[in-house]
Amino acid sequence: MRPLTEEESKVFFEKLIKFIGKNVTLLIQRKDEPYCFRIQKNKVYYVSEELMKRSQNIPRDSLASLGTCFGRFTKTGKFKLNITCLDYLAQYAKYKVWVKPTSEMSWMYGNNLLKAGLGRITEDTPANQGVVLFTMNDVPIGFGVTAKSTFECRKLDPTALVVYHYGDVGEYLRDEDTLF
Amino acid sequence: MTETVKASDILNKSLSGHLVEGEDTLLYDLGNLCAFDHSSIDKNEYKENPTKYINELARKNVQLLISRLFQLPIKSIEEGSLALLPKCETKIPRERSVPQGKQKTRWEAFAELKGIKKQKKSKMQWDEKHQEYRPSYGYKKANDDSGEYIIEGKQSDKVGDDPFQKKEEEKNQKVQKQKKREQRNFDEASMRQMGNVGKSLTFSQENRPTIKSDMEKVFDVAKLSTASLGRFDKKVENEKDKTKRGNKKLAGLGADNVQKESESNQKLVDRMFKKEDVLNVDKAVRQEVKSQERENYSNKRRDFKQGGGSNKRFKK
Repeated sequence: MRPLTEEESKVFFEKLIKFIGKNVTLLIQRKDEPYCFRIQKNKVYYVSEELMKRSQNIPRDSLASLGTCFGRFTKTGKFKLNITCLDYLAQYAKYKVWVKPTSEMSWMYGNNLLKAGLGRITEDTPANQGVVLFTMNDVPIGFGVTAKSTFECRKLDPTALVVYHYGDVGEYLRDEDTLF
Repeated sequence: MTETVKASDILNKSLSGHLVEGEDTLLYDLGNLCAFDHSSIDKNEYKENPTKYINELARKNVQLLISRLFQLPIKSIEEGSLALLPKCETKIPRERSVPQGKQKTRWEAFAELKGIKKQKKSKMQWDEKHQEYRPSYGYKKANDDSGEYIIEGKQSDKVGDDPFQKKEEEKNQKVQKQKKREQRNFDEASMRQMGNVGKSLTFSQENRPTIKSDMEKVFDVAKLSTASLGRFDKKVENEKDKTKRGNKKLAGLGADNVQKESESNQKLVDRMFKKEDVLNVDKAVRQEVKSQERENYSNKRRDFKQGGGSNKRFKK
């Protein structure tokens, strides 16, 4: 377990900013309790200071997991978000997409979202923007990247792709063993 | 749509009799989610089937621990309910050795040995000549005799000696001596490889290996000490390609300062926002189109009013 290096934190925050924009500040400087980002075996965790201090007693090899896993660094140095960070993303998301109940299951099996399943979308969402997906009752079910902007979405036919799949809550069942 | 199911309901259906009967003799440290079983092992049962015995014991103890957890006060949040853990009781040992402190200078070591304690001196001192308090060192210091143009003669003075020069030399010597001491302290305290480089001066047989490795170390440093870090330098014949460099140390365990870290993260993020494009092109285009439409509309209305209903569109 160690803090992120300068380069790593750049890559990491760039990815976070795609989804939550300036709200990253709220994650970095929390008012209730000091929190920090720690990297352990390629995975980035969001941990409270107290928990971090306590886990320092445990050798690196034996430390399986701590705090909330935000994602992992690939061997080529890219950062991939993990579904476990959904709580924070959903809380601070800048752009949101609401999914119709009929397409919820399809999304949760790892498919991209089609126009037919698009219930609502935040106004002025540009294309290629990170978005968090919700059910119509405001339960977060995943995140992805828009293929088209809100404006373009209106004219699309129902089978066109609207949101590319990045992560969904189905992963809690599918990838249970590698998730945390 | 979805129903919330209580964990205890599932347990009751599938595993009846999961609760442990009998006396609870465990010691708990719920803050660390720990329980300690101090009771002795039943030797006969253990010999019969060790794995079964241990599994059974572990299951019982975990069950006891978990039922304790369910008795804790509960805080409910949106996603479910959280048990509020009490403070930790067991102290977990450090993983690594305690970091060593700064090495003492020779004076500090000596003072500690003799029990000499540093006494606080006031910054101001009484100046006899000016009859006032002045700082004990620095600009306009107390009892300063550096600007004097006459020095009182002594019996021991020889003819031809310059007392001013003598005074200056004495002061220089003191400064040099202190510099030497500082360097010695630095060398002794220095954990770096370069601390002892160049100390062996004679080229005797036994000194050769150290001299050779010293030369290499100095050479490595010199190679990297150009503007391009030695990238565009001409190479000597048979020169090794890579210079040896120390591993870059990351801030290790125990060196964490979370507040500083989050501040530097904040700075990094702020820098990234400065670079980012603030303009949302789609939105800007749409706003422009809308404002034009509105303008056209208001123009038309004005024309209509001015023309007193003579607009082509409404003429028919």
